[in-house]
Amino acid sequence: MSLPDPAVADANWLEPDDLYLTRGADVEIDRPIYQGDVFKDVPLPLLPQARPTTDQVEFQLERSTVMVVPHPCQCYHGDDLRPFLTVAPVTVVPNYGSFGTARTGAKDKFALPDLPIETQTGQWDAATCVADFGRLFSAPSNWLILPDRVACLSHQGLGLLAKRVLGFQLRYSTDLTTAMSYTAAEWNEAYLMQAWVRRYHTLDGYSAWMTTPKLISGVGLADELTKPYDVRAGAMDVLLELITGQYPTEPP
Amino acid sequence: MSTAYLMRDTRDLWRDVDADPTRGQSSHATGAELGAGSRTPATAEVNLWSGLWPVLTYRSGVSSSLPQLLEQIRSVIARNRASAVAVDMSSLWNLTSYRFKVEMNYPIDSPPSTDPRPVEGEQASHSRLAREVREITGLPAVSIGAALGVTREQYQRWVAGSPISDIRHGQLIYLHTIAVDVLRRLGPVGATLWWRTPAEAHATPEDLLKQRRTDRVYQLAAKIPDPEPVVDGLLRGLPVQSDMEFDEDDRASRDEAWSPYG
Repeated sequence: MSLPDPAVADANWLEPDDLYLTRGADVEIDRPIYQGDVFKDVPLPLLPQARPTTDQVEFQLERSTVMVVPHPCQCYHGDDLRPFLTVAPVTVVPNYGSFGTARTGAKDKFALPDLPIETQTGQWDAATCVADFGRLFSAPSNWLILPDRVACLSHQGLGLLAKRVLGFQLRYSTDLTTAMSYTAAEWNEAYLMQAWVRRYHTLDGYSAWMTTPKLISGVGLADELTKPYDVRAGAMDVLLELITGQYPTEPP
Repeated sequence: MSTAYLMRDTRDLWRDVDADPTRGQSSHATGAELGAGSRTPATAEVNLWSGLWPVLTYRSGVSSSLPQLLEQIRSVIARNRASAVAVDMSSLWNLTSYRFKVEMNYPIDSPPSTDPRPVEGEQASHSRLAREVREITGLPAVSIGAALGVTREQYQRWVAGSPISDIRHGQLIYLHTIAVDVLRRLGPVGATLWWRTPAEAHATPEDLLKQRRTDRVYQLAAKIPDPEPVVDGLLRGLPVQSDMEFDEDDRASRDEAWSPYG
């Protein structure tokens, strides 16, 4: 039996226009902090190689670029951003030769091509970068300053990140469409959270609203209570209308 | 008939490809079964060689005409990011055989892709998905439209190629992914029945779609016994996703709702 082609063509590599949702100055300040977000100027400790012999040790901090790694559900606890987020250091590399021709190599890296880097003159330049899964660090989330966010991944980008993480951790592979299905609901939820914040200037109340059963016109049976949380993937348009008062329409 | 493209690279890989169904198998093309006449459905397997080594094997889908087969080959070459392509249809073809030369130039460190799928633009993507969802599930257009929050007419416009919003494109991708996985697990007959068989509280998956509960349909689909979750080394099956649990760990919260405004 031949199956139809996947909804999204499988890929081990995405060009920047497909990898990123937004970059540089286009990153929206009120988009919730999310898996795949890249922040600059995050102070990371340079730990000494030698094992400390005392309980106190001096170390330097290095202003670094990092990528948020955890699944979106692990970034928040209710309406609160988790106090610590796992981040992967991002470094500039000369090329992506180590990824190989099939782009399946360098399993501990995630490519971030054309990542915006702000120059000293305030202009944006594009750099060839990678995030390093092999050097994960648990950073206080308040070290990630929103104006320093330089890139957000697209849904395809999140799917590719999921593929790379699976390969890094388990040497397992999946295709891009399946990987995107892992975060379909959470992908939509980022927009819902952003819409909530735009209306109320805080995420406060969002989780309670999402998990409280209610009558939602057009969802479920006529007299059936539904949690918005349970229809994030399939009825995002309805939920957006409930939050914003505007129903998303189709282009002509 | 000939089609020529601008040549920009000095790395030329010439090889004659001769597909002659009357001979059954040519020196370079194997398994070619091009039907007599341009209207007969036909398939072709074409091996493109560089010296003594094959660099590309292309297997077409069923082609109803030579131009269609030619377009598929063009797509394969484009997918390989060939810097220049020339496909020269010599005048030697007749009703029973086709002869063409393919000149390919691609970056030396790029592997040839044997993926025969044509490169398609974003406009064509949602049109294909919309059409295939209906073909796979056997559901009426009104049900699929309802699942996506639109009328039957809007759904049909998508099938015809009318633009789609990003939101609904994402929903369509989600629904298509579920439908394909149900098809993979159950086969065509089983899949068609599944969509119409009550799954819970007398509601069929089709009913749940019309109620905008596609998330619940995903969960039902993911629980269908999977005879082959790994295909060609890739994990294909949709995973069963558990409900989010709010842990009571005090350390998990900063006790301050997130805000981008400080």
